[in-house]
Amino acid sequence: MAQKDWFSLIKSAEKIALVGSSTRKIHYKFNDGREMVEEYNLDTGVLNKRAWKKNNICKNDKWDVEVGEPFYLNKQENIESIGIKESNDSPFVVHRVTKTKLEWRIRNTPFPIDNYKVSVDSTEKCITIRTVNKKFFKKLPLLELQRLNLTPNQSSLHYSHFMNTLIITYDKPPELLSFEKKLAMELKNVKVIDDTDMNCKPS
Amino acid sequence: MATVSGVAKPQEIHEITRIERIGAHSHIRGLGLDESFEPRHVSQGMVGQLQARRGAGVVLGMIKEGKIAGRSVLLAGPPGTGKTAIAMGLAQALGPDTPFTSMSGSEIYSLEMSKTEALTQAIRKSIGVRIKEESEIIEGEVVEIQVERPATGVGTKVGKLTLKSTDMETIYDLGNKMIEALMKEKVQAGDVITIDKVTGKITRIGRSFTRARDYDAAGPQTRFVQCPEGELQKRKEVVHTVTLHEIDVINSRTHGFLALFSGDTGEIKSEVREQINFKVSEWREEGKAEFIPGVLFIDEVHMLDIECFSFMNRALEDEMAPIVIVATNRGVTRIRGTNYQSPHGMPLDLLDRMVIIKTEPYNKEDLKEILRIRSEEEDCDLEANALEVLTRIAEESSLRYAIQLITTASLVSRKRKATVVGIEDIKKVYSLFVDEKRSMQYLRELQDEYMFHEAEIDNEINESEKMITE
Repeated sequence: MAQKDWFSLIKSAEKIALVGSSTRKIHYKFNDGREMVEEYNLDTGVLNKRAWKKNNICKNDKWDVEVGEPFYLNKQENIESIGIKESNDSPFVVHRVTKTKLEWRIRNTPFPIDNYKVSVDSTEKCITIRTVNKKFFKKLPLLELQRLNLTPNQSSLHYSHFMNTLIITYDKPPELLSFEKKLAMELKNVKVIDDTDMNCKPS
Repeated sequence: MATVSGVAKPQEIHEITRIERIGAHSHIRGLGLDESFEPRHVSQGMVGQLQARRGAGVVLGMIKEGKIAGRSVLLAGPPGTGKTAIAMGLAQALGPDTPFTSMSGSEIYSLEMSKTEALTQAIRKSIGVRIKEESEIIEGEVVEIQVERPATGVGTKVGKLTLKSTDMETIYDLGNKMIEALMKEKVQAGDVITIDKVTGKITRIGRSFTRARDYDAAGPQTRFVQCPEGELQKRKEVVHTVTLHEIDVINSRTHGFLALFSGDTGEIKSEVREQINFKVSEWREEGKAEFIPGVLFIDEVHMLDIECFSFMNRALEDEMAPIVIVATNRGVTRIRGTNYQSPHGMPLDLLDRMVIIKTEPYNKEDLKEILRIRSEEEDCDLEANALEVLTRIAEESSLRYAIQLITTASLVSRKRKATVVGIEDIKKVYSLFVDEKRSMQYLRELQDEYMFHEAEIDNEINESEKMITE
């Protein structure tokens, strides 16, 4: 991903906005063929969901979810066509963004909290989760920080464990907060298409 | 078990998973050419046929250069003169990276797809595309594979695969076809494997070091590797070599890539193909993809009919067409689907687009050399005069018949506890198994005693009458 200048990349992309009852969706089309969809909450202005689609030759039209709940598919049907997938009770990560924090929820993690070692890797700009019993390992890329070229630090990182879920939070640095404000201003100008009128006139 | 393995002789230890059967052309390892495409008389399993092999060498050079699309080569010659062997040698010489599709002319006749679809698929299978792209890969050491079959024997299998790295362990659910693919690759606990999530391709990297002491007799091919580190699922920049056909199948939405394993791809819409052609050429311009034109080899090409030939005329003009090599042992004969006679059973306009490589009957020295190579391949020691007798048999009846006699004779010799095959063994099998000429003569003498003899003659008359009326 072009981390160099995230803002100008967004600026150069072809954008279309769609306003629903409580959300505002923005579709981006980048020059290299990638597509991105963002979904903002209208009341709080917080990003609910962000998904990517790559311009790959061997891939079906599937969206990779970066922020928000993943798209759930009919599981029974899909195992035959996908061939291999992680079993339903294995851990999976959901990334969420709140007003002041970046948050990851790792569900299906039954082990107690002292099993986990969560640390910040400042060279790779990611959060590393290790387990003492060697059952789970994950590197969570801090994409938001990578895009702004910020270096993460350990003190902003907190984690807790509750109801089989490991919750990791990272306080947004002030640079990110000010960037999000700037971005929100920019996105206000995006052309909105009215989805109530879909050019479909029933006779 | 321990006592049994103690008694067994050391040379009898084979790696059980990799017993290869000996096929008709398994002795061929290449075209047997030197650097300047000059054929060596006996090399890489090839004997004689110097002209034809030199021709094939030039074709090889053309394919390797990869610039010219849609040329075709006809290998013509009487049966048993090494046409298929030359094609196989060419495939070997091209190496594993160049797609080589080998099919028989009769393979295109299927009830599930039309002839032209089968041909198109074969053509597209012969063009490789090397793509560099980011792909999701699962890499880990197999802890356990569990496959549960339903008690009734029918229905879907349920599979679970447990993989681990040095840091984590995950259980994966498997689809039916992935289970089959894992079985086919003979993946077992302790293997380090990678699975490409996009194409579903499974690669065995080796066995984990921690399992090195499981068996004290490991095959020579066994490679020991370190258990991977970090996350099992990785995003990696990988270079796939896929054929156009595989991309077609992956993108024909109704099936998904798993159709590749079973082969039940059905017909692929021409729109999908057009889209892919467009996308691939776009990628080539961007420098992300690279074409590897391969070879389509159609054996027994006289079995194709006039529709296929005219389709091929057109298909060869496409710039994405592979090099097509066809082989036939027919002389002037009827083109299938018409009443016209034509050389090699192929229409003249297609023949005109081909370069023709001729194979000639082998001379005595070549026959002897081939028989010697085959007897080596089939693990039989022949006495010098037995080889001489076999050569004479090959000269008088056919090379294939003589080759058949090698293993049979060695079985007979083993019966009398001899280590080498002598003349008497050859004589024995020569009397036991009749060759085609003697069989024909026998039938001529005794045809009255066989059943349906008269009926068959009637049938033939009926059929020829039908042909005339048509």
